[in-house]
Amino acid sequence: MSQVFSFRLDENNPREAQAIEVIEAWASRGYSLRYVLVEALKNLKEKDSSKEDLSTSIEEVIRMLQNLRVGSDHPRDEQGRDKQLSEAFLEAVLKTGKPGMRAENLSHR
Amino acid sequence: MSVLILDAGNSIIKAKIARREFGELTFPHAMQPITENEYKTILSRAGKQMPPLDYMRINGQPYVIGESAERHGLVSQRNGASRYTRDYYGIFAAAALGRLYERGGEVKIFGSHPPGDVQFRQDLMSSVVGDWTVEVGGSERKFRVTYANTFDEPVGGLMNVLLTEDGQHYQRSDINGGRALVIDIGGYTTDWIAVNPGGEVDYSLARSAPLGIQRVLADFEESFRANNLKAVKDTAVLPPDRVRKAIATGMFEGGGRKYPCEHEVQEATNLLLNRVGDMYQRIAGGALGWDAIILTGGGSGLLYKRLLPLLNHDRVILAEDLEHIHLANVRGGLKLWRLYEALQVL
Repeated sequence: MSQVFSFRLDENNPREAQAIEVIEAWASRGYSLRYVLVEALKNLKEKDSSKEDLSTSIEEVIRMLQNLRVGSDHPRDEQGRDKQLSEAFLEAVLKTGKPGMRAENLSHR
Repeated sequence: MSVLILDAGNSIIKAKIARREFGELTFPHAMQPITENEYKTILSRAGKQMPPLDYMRINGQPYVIGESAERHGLVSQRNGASRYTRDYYGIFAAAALGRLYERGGEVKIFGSHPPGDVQFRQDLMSSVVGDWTVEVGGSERKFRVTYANTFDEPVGGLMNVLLTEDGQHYQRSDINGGRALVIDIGGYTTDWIAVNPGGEVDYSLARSAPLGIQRVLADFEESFRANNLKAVKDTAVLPPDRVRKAIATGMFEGGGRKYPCEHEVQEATNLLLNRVGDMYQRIAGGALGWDAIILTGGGSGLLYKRLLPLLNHDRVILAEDLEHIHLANVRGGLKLWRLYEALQVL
Protein backbone atom coordinates (compact mmCIF):
# COMPACT_ATOMS: atom_id res chain seq x y z
CA MET A 1 0.00 0.00 0.00
CA SER A 2 1.51 3.36 -1.02
CA GLN A 3 1.19 6.73 0.60
CA VAL A 4 1.37 9.98 -1.31
CA PHE A 5 3.36 12.90 -0.01
CA SER A 6 3.49 16.23 -1.78
CA PHE A 7 5.40 19.34 -0.90
CA ARG A 8 6.44 22.70 -2.33
CA LEU A 9 9.89 24.13 -2.58
CA ASP A 10 10.12 27.89 -2.82
CA GLU A 11 12.76 29.19 -5.25
CA ASN A 12 12.95 32.43 -3.28
CA ASN A 13 14.04 30.55 -0.19
CA PRO A 14 17.83 30.06 -0.47
CA ARG A 15 17.81 26.68 1.28
CA GLU A 16 14.91 25.38 -0.77
CA ALA A 17 16.43 26.78 -3.97
CA GLN A 18 19.53 24.76 -3.18
CA ALA A 19 17.38 21.68 -2.64
CA ILE A 20 15.73 22.25 -6.04
CA GLU A 21 19.15 22.39 -7.69
CA VAL A 22 20.19 19.12 -6.12
CA ILE A 23 16.93 17.41 -7.11
CA GLU A 24 17.27 18.65 -10.71
CA ALA A 25 20.87 17.47 -10.88
CA TRP A 26 19.84 13.98 -9.84
CA ALA A 27 16.81 14.03 -12.14
CA SER A 28 19.05 14.83 -15.09
CA ARG A 29 20.90 11.61 -14.35
CA GLY A 30 17.63 9.70 -14.51
CA TYR A 31 16.92 9.23 -10.82
CA SER A 32 13.42 9.77 -9.55
CA LEU A 33 12.50 12.20 -6.81
CA ARG A 34 11.16 9.26 -4.85
CA TYR A 35 14.52 7.49 -4.88
CA VAL A 36 16.46 10.61 -3.90
CA LEU A 37 14.20 11.46 -1.00
CA VAL A 38 14.06 7.90 0.30
CA GLU A 39 17.86 7.72 0.41
CA ALA A 40 18.21 11.14 2.02
CA LEU A 41 15.52 10.57 4.61
CA LYS A 42 16.92 7.18 5.55
CA ASN A 43 20.19 8.92 6.35
CA LEU A 44 18.30 11.54 8.29
CA LYS A 45 16.72 8.87 10.44
CA GLU A 46 20.14 7.89 11.69
CA LYS A 47 20.57 11.30 13.24
CA ASP A 48 18.73 12.41 16.33
CA SER A 49 16.47 14.82 14.51
CA SER A 50 14.17 15.22 17.54
CA LYS A 51 16.61 17.70 19.05
CA GLU A 52 16.76 19.81 15.89
CA ASP A 53 14.30 22.33 14.55
CA LEU A 54 12.70 22.04 11.12
CA SER A 55 15.05 24.44 9.35
CA THR A 56 18.06 22.47 10.57
CA SER A 57 16.42 19.26 9.38
CA ILE A 58 15.95 20.73 5.89
CA GLU A 59 19.61 21.75 5.83
CA GLU A 60 20.57 18.22 6.80
CA VAL A 61 18.45 16.79 3.98
CA ILE A 62 20.10 19.15 1.48
CA ARG A 63 23.57 18.18 2.70
CA MET A 64 22.69 14.53 2.44
CA LEU A 65 21.29 14.94 -1.08
CA GLN A 66 24.53 16.61 -2.11
CA ASN A 67 26.55 13.85 -0.55
CA LEU A 68 24.64 10.98 -2.16
CA ARG A 69 27.02 9.09 -4.39
CA VAL A 70 26.18 7.98 -7.91
CA GLY A 71 27.46 4.92 -9.77
CA SER A 72 30.26 4.08 -7.43
CA ASP A 73 32.99 1.89 -8.91
CA HIS A 74 32.82 -0.08 -5.71
CA PRO A 75 29.19 -0.92 -5.06
CA ARG A 76 30.15 -2.89 -2.00
CA ASP A 77 31.34 0.31 -0.35
CA GLU A 78 27.90 1.93 -0.45
CA GLN A 79 26.13 2.85 2.76
CA GLY A 80 23.49 0.59 4.31
CA ARG A 81 25.07 -2.70 5.22
CA ASP A 82 21.68 -4.40 5.20
CA LYS A 83 21.04 -3.16 1.63
CA GLN A 84 24.43 -4.13 0.22
CA LEU A 85 24.35 -6.61 -2.59
CA SER A 86 25.66 -9.93 -1.40
CA GLU A 87 28.84 -11.48 -2.78
CA ALA A 88 26.84 -14.47 -4.00
CA PHE A 89 24.44 -12.22 -5.86
CA LEU A 90 27.23 -10.22 -7.48
CA GLU A 91 29.04 -13.38 -8.51
CA ALA A 92 25.82 -14.68 -10.05
CA VAL A 93 25.34 -11.42 -11.92
CA LEU A 94 28.92 -11.59 -13.22
CA LYS A 95 28.29 -15.14 -14.39
CA THR A 96 25.08 -14.30 -16.18
CA GLY A 97 26.49 -11.29 -18.01
CA LYS A 98 26.85 -12.12 -21.67
CA PRO A 99 29.22 -10.56 -24.23
CA GLY A 100 27.87 -7.58 -26.10
CA MET A 101 28.53 -6.40 -29.62
CA ARG A 102 30.50 -3.33 -30.60
CA ALA A 103 30.11 -1.28 -33.75
CA GLU A 104 33.74 -1.76 -34.74
CA ASN A 105 33.08 -5.51 -34.97
CA LEU A 106 30.86 -4.87 -37.99
CA SER A 107 31.67 -3.52 -41.39
CA HIS A 108 30.49 0.08 -41.91
CA ARG A 109 26.74 0.36 -42.36
CA MET B 1 27.18 7.82 -23.59
CA SER B 2 23.50 7.16 -23.03
CA VAL B 3 21.77 3.79 -23.13
CA LEU B 4 18.38 2.88 -24.53
CA ILE B 5 16.59 0.00 -22.82
CA LEU B 6 14.31 -1.71 -25.31
CA ASP B 7 11.56 -4.28 -24.70
CA ALA B 8 10.06 -5.07 -28.10
CA GLY B 9 7.07 -7.08 -26.94
CA ASN B 10 4.70 -8.78 -29.35
CA SER B 11 1.96 -6.34 -28.47
CA ILE B 12 3.62 -3.17 -27.19
CA ILE B 13 7.12 -1.77 -27.69
CA LYS B 14 8.50 -0.29 -24.47
CA ALA B 15 11.61 1.85 -24.33
CA LYS B 16 13.38 3.75 -21.58
CA ILE B 17 16.30 6.12 -21.26
CA ALA B 18 17.82 7.58 -18.09
CA ARG B 19 15.86 10.80 -18.02
CA ARG B 20 13.30 11.56 -15.32
CA GLU B 21 10.77 13.35 -17.49
CA PHE B 22 9.61 11.86 -20.78
CA GLY B 23 12.19 9.10 -20.47
CA GLU B 24 9.74 6.27 -21.11
CA LEU B 25 7.93 5.45 -24.32
CA THR B 26 5.37 2.87 -25.36
CA PHE B 27 3.81 2.30 -28.74
CA PRO B 28 1.99 -0.58 -30.41
CA HIS B 29 4.03 -3.27 -32.15
CA ALA B 30 2.88 -2.19 -35.60
CA MET B 31 4.98 -1.04 -38.53
CA GLN B 32 4.72 -0.68 -42.26
CA PRO B 33 6.98 0.87 -44.90
CA ILE B 34 5.14 3.53 -46.90
CA THR B 35 5.86 5.24 -50.18
CA GLU B 36 7.62 8.56 -50.48
CA ASN B 37 4.39 10.07 -51.83
CA GLU B 38 2.37 8.85 -48.84
CA TYR B 39 5.01 10.25 -46.49
CA LYS B 40 5.08 13.63 -48.20
CA THR B 41 1.29 13.78 -48.17
CA ILE B 42 1.27 13.29 -44.39
CA LEU B 43 3.90 16.00 -43.94
CA SER B 44 2.07 18.45 -46.16
CA ARG B 45 -1.21 17.87 -44.29
CA ALA B 46 0.56 18.73 -41.06
CA GLY B 47 1.47 22.12 -42.52
CA LYS B 48 3.14 24.33 -39.95
CA GLN B 49 2.29 21.95 -37.11
CA MET B 50 4.62 19.16 -36.09
CA PRO B 51 4.01 16.11 -38.25
CA PRO B 52 2.60 13.06 -36.43
CA LEU B 53 5.39 11.21 -34.63
CA ASP B 54 4.18 7.87 -35.98
CA TYR B 55 5.44 8.79 -39.43
CA MET B 56 9.18 8.84 -39.82
CA ARG B 57 11.93 8.28 -42.31
CA ILE B 58 14.60 5.83 -41.17
CA ASN B 59 17.78 5.51 -43.21
CA GLY B 60 15.98 7.01 -46.17
CA GLN B 61 12.88 4.78 -46.07
CA PRO B 62 9.56 6.22 -44.80
CA TYR B 63 7.56 4.18 -42.30
CA VAL B 64 4.41 4.42 -40.25
CA ILE B 65 5.11 2.96 -36.80
CA GLY B 66 2.91 2.60 -33.74
CA GLU B 67 -0.65 3.73 -33.17
CA SER B 68 -1.26 5.04 -36.68
CA ALA B 69 -0.04 1.79 -38.19
CA GLU B 70 -2.23 -0.22 -35.82
CA ARG B 71 -5.28 1.97 -36.50
CA HIS B 72 -4.96 1.32 -40.19
CA GLY B 73 -4.49 -2.39 -39.67
CA LEU B 74 -0.89 -2.24 -40.84
CA VAL B 75 0.65 -4.75 -38.51
CA SER B 76 3.75 -6.63 -39.55
CA GLN B 77 4.42 -9.38 -37.06
CA ARG B 78 7.44 -11.60 -37.16
CA ASN B 79 8.54 -14.32 -34.78
CA GLY B 80 11.76 -16.04 -33.89
CA ALA B 81 14.98 -15.22 -35.69
CA SER B 82 13.14 -13.42 -38.49
CA ARG B 83 12.23 -10.57 -36.18
CA TYR B 84 15.82 -9.76 -35.26
CA THR B 85 16.79 -8.12 -38.52
CA ARG B 86 17.84 -4.62 -39.36
CA ASP B 87 14.66 -3.98 -41.31
CA TYR B 88 12.39 -5.06 -38.46
CA TYR B 89 13.77 -4.97 -34.91
CA GLY B 90 16.28 -2.38 -36.06
CA ILE B 91 13.48 -0.13 -37.29
CA PHE B 92 11.63 -0.31 -33.97
CA ALA B 93 14.86 0.50 -32.16
CA ALA B 94 15.54 3.46 -34.46
CA ALA B 95 11.98 4.68 -33.98
CA ALA B 96 12.43 4.58 -30.21
CA LEU B 97 15.74 6.47 -30.52
CA GLY B 98 14.13 9.13 -32.69
CA ARG B 99 11.22 9.68 -30.35
CA LEU B 100 13.10 9.63 -27.06
CA TYR B 101 16.23 11.64 -27.86
CA GLU B 102 16.06 15.30 -28.79
CA ARG B 103 19.48 15.11 -30.44
CA GLY B 104 21.45 12.42 -32.23
CA GLY B 105 24.80 11.04 -31.18
CA GLU B 106 26.37 7.85 -29.92
CA VAL B 107 24.16 5.53 -27.92
CA LYS B 108 24.15 2.00 -26.57
CA ILE B 109 21.19 -0.37 -26.67
CA PHE B 110 20.27 -2.93 -24.03
CA GLY B 111 17.51 -5.03 -25.58
CA SER B 112 15.36 -7.66 -23.92
CA HIS B 113 14.07 -10.89 -25.41
CA PRO B 114 11.81 -13.75 -24.27
CA PRO B 115 13.85 -16.53 -22.63
CA GLY B 116 13.32 -18.79 -25.64
CA ASP B 117 14.96 -16.22 -27.93
CA VAL B 118 18.32 -16.28 -26.13
CA GLN B 119 19.61 -18.29 -29.10
CA PHE B 120 18.95 -15.26 -31.32
CA ARG B 121 20.72 -12.68 -29.18
CA GLN B 122 23.54 -12.24 -31.68
CA ASP B 123 20.94 -11.45 -34.34
CA LEU B 124 19.26 -8.98 -31.99
CA MET B 125 22.48 -7.09 -31.34
CA SER B 126 23.53 -7.20 -34.96
CA SER B 127 20.19 -5.72 -36.02
CA VAL B 128 20.71 -2.51 -34.02
CA VAL B 129 24.44 -1.80 -34.00
CA GLY B 130 25.51 0.76 -36.58
CA ASP B 131 24.28 4.04 -38.00
CA TRP B 132 20.70 5.24 -38.01
CA THR B 133 19.37 8.43 -39.55
CA VAL B 134 15.92 9.14 -38.21
CA GLU B 135 13.67 11.94 -39.45
CA VAL B 136 10.75 12.47 -37.07
CA GLY B 137 8.61 15.40 -36.01
CA GLY B 138 10.16 17.56 -38.70
CA SER B 139 13.79 17.10 -37.68
CA GLU B 140 16.54 14.68 -38.53
CA ARG B 141 18.78 12.96 -36.01
CA LYS B 142 21.80 10.78 -36.68
CA PHE B 143 22.54 8.03 -34.21
CA ARG B 144 25.44 5.66 -34.00
CA VAL B 145 24.70 2.60 -31.89
CA THR B 146 28.20 1.73 -30.77
CA TYR B 147 27.37 -1.15 -28.45
CA ALA B 148 24.50 -3.54 -27.80
CA ASN B 149 23.80 -6.22 -25.25
CA THR B 150 20.75 -8.21 -24.19
CA PHE B 151 18.79 -9.45 -21.18
CA ASP B 152 15.88 -11.82 -20.63
CA GLU B 153 12.55 -10.04 -20.25
CA PRO B 154 11.55 -11.74 -16.97
CA VAL B 155 15.00 -10.97 -15.52
CA GLY B 156 14.19 -7.31 -16.11
CA GLY B 157 11.07 -7.76 -14.02
CA LEU B 158 13.06 -9.53 -11.30
CA MET B 159 15.72 -6.83 -11.16
CA ASN B 160 13.05 -4.16 -10.91
CA VAL B 161 11.89 -5.82 -7.70
CA LEU B 162 15.34 -6.60 -6.32
CA LEU B 163 17.39 -3.49 -7.05
CA THR B 164 17.24 0.20 -6.24
CA GLU B 165 17.34 2.68 -9.11
CA ASP B 166 21.10 2.94 -9.05
CA GLY B 167 21.27 -0.82 -9.50
CA GLN B 168 23.69 -1.15 -6.61
CA HIS B 169 21.58 -1.86 -3.54
CA TYR B 170 18.78 -4.19 -2.67
CA GLN B 171 15.37 -2.64 -2.82
CA ARG B 172 14.13 -5.92 -1.40
CA SER B 173 16.61 -8.29 0.15
CA ASP B 174 14.01 -10.72 1.47
CA ILE B 175 13.81 -12.61 -1.79
CA ASN B 176 17.42 -12.60 -2.85
CA GLY B 177 18.44 -15.61 -0.81
CA GLY B 178 15.77 -17.84 -2.32
CA ARG B 179 14.66 -19.39 -5.59
CA ALA B 180 12.18 -17.24 -7.47
CA LEU B 181 9.75 -18.02 -10.26
CA VAL B 182 9.18 -15.08 -12.58
CA ILE B 183 5.99 -15.14 -14.63
CA ASP B 184 5.75 -12.55 -17.42
CA ILE B 185 2.25 -12.25 -18.90
CA GLY B 186 2.52 -10.17 -22.04
CA GLY B 187 0.29 -9.34 -24.95
CA TYR B 188 0.61 -12.61 -26.84
CA THR B 189 2.87 -14.81 -24.74
CA THR B 190 3.34 -15.88 -21.15
CA ASP B 191 6.97 -16.50 -20.26
CA TRP B 192 8.36 -18.33 -17.26
CA ILE B 193 11.81 -18.27 -15.87
CA ALA B 194 13.39 -19.65 -12.69
CA VAL B 195 16.00 -17.65 -10.87
CA ASN B 196 18.38 -19.33 -8.44
CA PRO B 197 19.53 -17.73 -5.21
CA GLY B 198 21.77 -14.86 -6.20
CA GLY B 199 19.95 -14.02 -9.41
CA GLU B 200 21.36 -16.64 -11.76
CA VAL B 201 18.82 -17.61 -14.41
CA ASP B 202 17.94 -21.30 -14.67
CA TYR B 203 17.20 -21.73 -18.36
CA SER B 204 16.18 -25.35 -17.91
CA LEU B 205 12.86 -24.06 -16.63
CA ALA B 206 12.40 -21.30 -19.20
CA ARG B 207 9.11 -21.65 -21.05
CA SER B 208 7.07 -19.52 -23.38
CA ALA B 209 3.39 -20.23 -23.97
CA PRO B 210 1.62 -18.61 -26.95
CA LEU B 211 -1.10 -17.12 -24.83
CA GLY B 212 -1.33 -13.59 -23.51
CA ILE B 213 -3.62 -10.85 -22.37
CA GLN B 214 -4.69 -9.79 -25.89
CA ARG B 215 -6.64 -13.04 -26.24
CA VAL B 216 -8.32 -12.35 -22.90
CA LEU B 217 -9.33 -8.84 -24.00
CA ALA B 218 -10.72 -10.12 -27.29
CA ASP B 219 -12.64 -12.95 -25.64
CA PHE B 220 -14.09 -10.59 -23.06
CA GLU B 221 -15.28 -8.16 -25.71
CA GLU B 222 -16.98 -10.96 -27.61
CA SER B 223 -18.69 -12.23 -24.47
CA PHE B 224 -19.72 -8.82 -23.20
CA ARG B 225 -21.16 -7.82 -26.55
CA ALA B 226 -23.18 -11.00 -26.76
CA ASN B 227 -24.68 -10.38 -23.33
CA ASN B 228 -25.21 -6.62 -23.63
CA LEU B 229 -26.42 -6.08 -27.17
CA LYS B 230 -28.39 -2.95 -26.45
CA ALA B 231 -25.57 -1.25 -24.57
CA VAL B 232 -22.94 -1.83 -27.25
CA LYS B 233 -24.98 -1.35 -30.40
CA ASP B 234 -23.42 2.04 -31.21
CA THR B 235 -19.88 1.09 -30.21
CA ALA B 236 -17.78 -0.62 -32.84
CA VAL B 237 -14.91 -1.32 -30.48
CA LEU B 238 -15.10 -1.17 -26.71
CA PRO B 239 -12.65 1.38 -25.23
CA PRO B 240 -9.55 -0.68 -24.34
CA ASP B 241 -8.97 1.09 -21.01
CA ARG B 242 -12.53 0.31 -19.87
CA VAL B 243 -12.16 -3.30 -20.94
CA ARG B 244 -8.96 -3.58 -18.89
CA LYS B 245 -10.65 -2.11 -15.86
CA ALA B 246 -13.59 -4.48 -16.28
CA ILE B 247 -11.26 -7.48 -16.32
CA ALA B 248 -9.49 -6.27 -13.21
CA THR B 249 -12.67 -5.47 -11.28
CA GLY B 250 -15.51 -7.55 -12.78
CA MET B 251 -17.51 -4.40 -13.47
CA PHE B 252 -17.72 -2.58 -16.81
CA GLU B 253 -18.34 1.14 -16.42
CA GLY B 254 -19.57 3.19 -19.32
CA GLY B 255 -22.35 5.52 -20.41
CA GLY B 256 -22.81 6.53 -16.78
CA ARG B 257 -23.75 2.98 -15.83
CA LYS B 258 -22.13 -0.05 -14.30
CA TYR B 259 -22.52 -3.43 -15.94
CA PRO B 260 -21.63 -6.41 -13.75
CA CYS B 261 -19.54 -8.69 -15.91
CA GLU B 262 -17.84 -11.17 -13.61
CA HIS B 263 -19.26 -14.03 -15.63
CA GLU B 264 -17.81 -12.67 -18.88
CA VAL B 265 -14.48 -12.00 -17.20
CA GLN B 266 -14.29 -15.54 -15.90
CA GLU B 267 -15.09 -16.93 -19.34
CA ALA B 268 -12.42 -14.73 -20.94
CA THR B 269 -9.70 -15.42 -18.40
CA ASN B 270 -10.30 -19.14 -17.91
CA LEU B 271 -8.21 -20.24 -20.85
CA LEU B 272 -5.15 -18.27 -19.79
CA LEU B 273 -5.56 -19.01 -16.10
CA ASN B 274 -6.03 -22.72 -16.74
CA ARG B 275 -2.90 -22.75 -18.86
CA VAL B 276 -0.95 -20.91 -16.17
CA GLY B 277 -2.26 -23.31 -13.54
CA ASP B 278 -1.36 -26.33 -15.64
CA MET B 279 2.17 -25.10 -16.28
CA TYR B 280 2.53 -24.14 -12.63
CA GLN B 281 1.79 -27.68 -11.54
CA ARG B 282 3.47 -29.63 -14.35
CA ILE B 283 6.61 -27.59 -14.90
CA ALA B 284 7.13 -25.46 -11.83
CA GLY B 285 5.94 -28.14 -9.43
CA GLY B 286 3.53 -25.90 -7.56
CA ALA B 287 4.23 -23.49 -4.73
CA LEU B 288 6.55 -25.43 -2.45
CA GLY B 289 9.70 -25.19 -4.57
CA TRP B 290 9.71 -21.39 -4.66
CA ASP B 291 10.59 -18.76 -2.10
CA ALA B 292 8.89 -16.06 -4.13
CA ILE B 293 6.83 -15.64 -7.27
CA ILE B 294 7.29 -12.47 -9.21
CA LEU B 295 4.64 -11.31 -11.64
CA THR B 296 5.63 -8.96 -14.43
CA GLY B 297 4.24 -7.84 -17.78
CA GLY B 298 1.05 -5.93 -18.51
CA GLY B 299 -1.16 -8.98 -18.20
CA SER B 300 -0.03 -9.64 -14.63
CA GLY B 301 -1.54 -6.42 -13.44
CA LEU B 302 -4.93 -7.21 -14.89
CA LEU B 303 -5.00 -10.79 -13.64
CA TYR B 304 -3.26 -10.27 -10.31
CA LYS B 305 -6.26 -10.95 -8.06
CA ARG B 306 -7.24 -14.01 -10.07
CA LEU B 307 -3.72 -15.41 -10.06
CA LEU B 308 -3.32 -15.29 -6.29
CA PRO B 309 -5.59 -18.25 -5.42
CA LEU B 310 -4.13 -20.18 -8.35
CA LEU B 311 -0.55 -19.70 -7.21
CA ASN B 312 -1.40 -20.36 -3.55
CA HIS B 313 1.84 -18.78 -2.40
CA ASP B 314 2.33 -16.31 0.43
CA ARG B 315 4.95 -14.28 -1.39
CA VAL B 316 3.58 -13.21 -4.74
CA ILE B 317 5.18 -9.93 -5.72
CA LEU B 318 4.25 -7.57 -8.53
CA ALA B 319 7.32 -6.29 -10.36
CA GLU B 320 5.90 -2.73 -10.42
CA ASP B 321 2.76 -0.89 -9.34
CA LEU B 322 -0.34 -1.92 -11.23
CA GLU B 323 -0.49 1.19 -13.39
CA HIS B 324 3.08 0.77 -14.65
CA ILE B 325 3.61 -2.97 -14.54
CA HIS B 326 3.99 -3.15 -18.30
CA LEU B 327 7.16 -1.07 -17.80
CA ALA B 328 8.65 -3.33 -15.11
CA ASN B 329 10.99 -5.10 -17.53
CA VAL B 330 12.52 -1.95 -19.03
CA ARG B 331 12.79 -0.26 -15.63
CA GLY B 332 14.52 -3.34 -14.28
CA GLY B 333 16.64 -3.46 -17.41
CA LEU B 334 18.03 -0.01 -16.65
CA LYS B 335 18.83 -1.04 -13.07
CA LEU B 336 20.59 -4.16 -14.37
CA TRP B 337 22.54 -2.07 -16.88
CA ARG B 338 23.72 0.23 -14.09
CA LEU B 339 24.82 -2.76 -12.05
CA TYR B 340 26.66 -4.22 -15.04
CA GLU B 341 28.41 -0.89 -15.53
CA ALA B 342 29.46 -0.76 -11.88
CA LEU B 343 30.77 -4.33 -12.11
CA GLN B 344 32.43 -3.56 -15.46
CA VAL B 345 30.68 -6.49 -17.06
CA LEU B 346 29.89 -4.61 -20.26
